[in-house]
Amino acid sequence: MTLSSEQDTIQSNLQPPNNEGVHDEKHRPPILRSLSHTITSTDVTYPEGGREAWSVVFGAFCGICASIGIYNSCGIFEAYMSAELLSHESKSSVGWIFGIYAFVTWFFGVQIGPTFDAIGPTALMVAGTVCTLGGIFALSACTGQSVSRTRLHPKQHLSFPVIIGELALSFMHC
Amino acid sequence: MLAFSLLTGTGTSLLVNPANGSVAHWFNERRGLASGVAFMGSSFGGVLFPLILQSLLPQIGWAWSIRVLGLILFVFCGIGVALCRSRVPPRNGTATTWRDTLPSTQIFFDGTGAMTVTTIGVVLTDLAYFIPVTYVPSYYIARQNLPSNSTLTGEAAFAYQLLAILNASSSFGRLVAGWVADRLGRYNTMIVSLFFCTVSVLCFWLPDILIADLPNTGLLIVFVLLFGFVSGSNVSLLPVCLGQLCETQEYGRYYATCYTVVSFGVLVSTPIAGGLLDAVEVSGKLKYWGVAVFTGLCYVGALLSFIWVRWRLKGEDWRAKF
Repeated sequence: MTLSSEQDTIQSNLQPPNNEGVHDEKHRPPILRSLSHTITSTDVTYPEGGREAWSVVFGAFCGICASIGIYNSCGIFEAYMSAELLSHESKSSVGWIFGIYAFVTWFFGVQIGPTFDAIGPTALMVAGTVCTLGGIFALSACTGQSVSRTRLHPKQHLSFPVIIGELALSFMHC
Repeated sequence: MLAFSLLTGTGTSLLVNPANGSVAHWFNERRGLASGVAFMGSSFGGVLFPLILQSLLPQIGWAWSIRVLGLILFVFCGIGVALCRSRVPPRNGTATTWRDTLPSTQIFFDGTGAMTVTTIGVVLTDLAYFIPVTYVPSYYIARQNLPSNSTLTGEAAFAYQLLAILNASSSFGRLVAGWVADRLGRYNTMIVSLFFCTVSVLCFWLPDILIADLPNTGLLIVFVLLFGFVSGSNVSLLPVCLGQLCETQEYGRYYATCYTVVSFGVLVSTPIAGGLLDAVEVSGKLKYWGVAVFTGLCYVGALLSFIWVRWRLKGEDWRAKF
């Protein structure tokens, strides 16, 4: 007997109980039933193109532009702030602003990613729009006076915050 | 100021993760190309916003320039919110609860170690990638022996134009890498581009640092162009590689977990690079050799990580698409 026919017999032996299992769906314990509703990769097909799919890509382009675009522009914020707005502050105080920004950007993803898996992009992106614009308009209201309260570590060793600032300043991730 | 850091940082995070995740819901075979196109947005913003601000700041001042920027952002965000949609239903269908939104470390222990080693590779890649893009302007200033206040006087304009060149080249490289990756496999493309990143750092940047009295900036420009092009994949392809390790419903979790590790990596990497600059006790451009070697070594480490994952999951057949 060849190997393949052996497998055939095994499969045909297995077939009846499998079918019974499907018919018995209602009598299964609830845990098993919910497992059978789990969606696996084999159920999923992808359009791979078309107007709708590319419009999502364009939406993502705009979303990424409004987020990482800011991230990439930190250099000009940093330069203007340290030269004009906060010229009386040390470079380390200014550096921390962008250090925290860069860190928050990547760190909060830990919660946002799984939330996206569960509820999709729209609500998250609306919240992101509100936060981004809130932060930007707060920045526009910024004058030199409000800074002394937010100054973080005036005596901090210089190089670390400055380099963090340069990190945000750079076109780091993109 | 703190409001900017925390609010805009959160906002950036809230925009980029779903935007990137949505693309994965619509493309699988061609995900590399689609992600490449989407991530061109980051370079686009990185070139557009500074140009806008540079022209507006002298005319209408800080407050109104930033408000105009806010309005432009509002338009971009609006388009993003309107167009980004997910397709694949959540893993547990309608039974999705808040428990499904919790992050998990389980994904690092899937039995193969692929996710763990890929994450190590991603951290090393990002460690290496940020060093040239951070230090190219200051390296140029040191290289040309420009005074330290030259950033304000405009003498060092070319230092920042170098970054723009890098960014533009990178945007092009992102597109090409995505296109190639969909045909030859994402990990394969990653391995090839990491190899060329190593080559560009060790064979173009390092010589430019070590050889005294170079007549012109040719070598540096070649480095910036080549590095920009081959490192484009560092940004756009890494998420696609991660997506290959999981099913689409879990993509957000895999991507975000990996990049959370990266956020700590980036945080500790800055003192390392700064420390290396301080540790080399020579003046001028020679100071940068430690940093360049560190960058090269990080790329070698990342290269080995990706080769290992490929070998672990696909075996030794070097022609296999993965």
